[in-house]
Amino acid sequence: MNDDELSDRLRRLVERAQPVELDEVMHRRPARGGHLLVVALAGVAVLALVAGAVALLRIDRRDAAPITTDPPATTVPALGDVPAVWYDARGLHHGDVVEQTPVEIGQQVGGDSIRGALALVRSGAVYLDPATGDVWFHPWGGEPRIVGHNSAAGPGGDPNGDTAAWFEGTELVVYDTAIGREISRTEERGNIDGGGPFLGGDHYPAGNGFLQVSAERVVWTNPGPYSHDLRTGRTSEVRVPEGRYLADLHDDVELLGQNGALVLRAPGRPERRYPHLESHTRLSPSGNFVLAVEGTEERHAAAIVDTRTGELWRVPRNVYPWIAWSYGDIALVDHTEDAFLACDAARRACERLHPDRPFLLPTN
Amino acid sequence: MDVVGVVDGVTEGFDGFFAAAEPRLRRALVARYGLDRGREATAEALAWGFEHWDRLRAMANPTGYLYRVGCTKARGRRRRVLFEAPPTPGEPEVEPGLADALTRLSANQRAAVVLVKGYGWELHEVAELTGSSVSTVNTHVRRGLAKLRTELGVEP
Repeated sequence: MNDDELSDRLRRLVERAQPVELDEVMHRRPARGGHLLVVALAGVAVLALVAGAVALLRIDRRDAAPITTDPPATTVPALGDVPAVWYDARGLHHGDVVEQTPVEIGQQVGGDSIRGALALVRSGAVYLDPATGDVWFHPWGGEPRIVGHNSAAGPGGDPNGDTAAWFEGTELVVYDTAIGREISRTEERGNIDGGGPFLGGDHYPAGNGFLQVSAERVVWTNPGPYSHDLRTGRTSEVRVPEGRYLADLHDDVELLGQNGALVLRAPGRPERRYPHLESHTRLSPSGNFVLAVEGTEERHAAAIVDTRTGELWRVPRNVYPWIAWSYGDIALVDHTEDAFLACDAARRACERLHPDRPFLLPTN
Repeated sequence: MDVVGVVDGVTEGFDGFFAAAEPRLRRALVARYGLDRGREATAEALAWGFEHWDRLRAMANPTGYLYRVGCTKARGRRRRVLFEAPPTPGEPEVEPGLADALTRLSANQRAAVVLVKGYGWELHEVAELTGSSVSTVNTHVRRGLAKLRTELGVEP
């Protein structure tokens, strides 16, 4: 057999499957059992499927180019063992590995932007299928499975733990990704309905209103802010001083917006006010760093503040940024037409990454 | 009457898409999952597309989306035999060892080899459908073809 004959025989083999007729499609209701079966068997099948899933992984080993950073930044590769996470046309990036998602989790809303909700938990990602409202848990190296339905704004997650949360209508669903079941479902008066930040905002490329998700509580805003205590099952409004609003929080560390400035409150330390930091801001998964945007006449760019010392580090490049956190203290800063950086806030070093545009950043 | 009208409207918009997408989806999913499972996944995906046509028609890459829907539908229905043995062993147009050799490739390699080598798709067309990069598809084709050629003794 020669090469041309191989082509011919490949075609003949595959054409032995009869064409699907339009009538057949129109009179068939899609079997939802596929999803249900996956969920039901997931616990049993996960070990067997991991091997198959690993085979599907595609390794993206583009060189990361260290870039010049403000002193005292280092020039060593920033990421180390902590993976940067984002989603683009090639799939769900987790460090050097690209995993395929069962559905498109970024919905194109313009020529160069997509919307979606991509949250992180310790062992994987939790994301929304914008087309169906399904919530998926995607364990790293494992088989994704549907864990929720009819969510407008998608999930939030605990990058340090196993808890994820989302709204199904007015019900707040809290899910433990480690044990694979809901741990709480409560009716709430203020639910995230998919408006606001989810649809895109200034400096937030995507996401929703979850401020913190942990094994102890879920805090959300838009509307709110509200805090649901998982131990007592009670929800209360988070009290914010008059004239301020809650921009983000992590345990006892709070970021408040006030008259265009940013106020940092951390236990045991005096309150700090940053008049040039806009209140579009996110706390890192550790709570040790604030990723914000510095706005002055000379500079409109990302900056990172150490919540323990109050020190501010100007992220390289004075370019309008979109900001998010990956795992650990890895900040993701996208300069749109310029560069996409992953910066280790602790070491003050950045690497340039190469996503396909448009892409989706985590909601963290 | 209203319901009939709506269904007719949806069908009218779906026809053209179906005609273009069905062969591509079927070939890709059959290559990946085998004759029965691949065809069933194609039908399931297109049925999903019909039911959600309003959403699907607004997508930038609806066929690629349905390919992923098909992949999801096909999961959990694993079969050891992907391509049955030829009905008449030794029949000149069917290579007896081809089905087994294809089965031993990874699913990604199988889809890439069949579409590129068997149907003459460009690498970027496969990449667009499967949500992969062109370089990844190229790697799948190269490695998959090398295995097939070795196993089947194909002359270059």
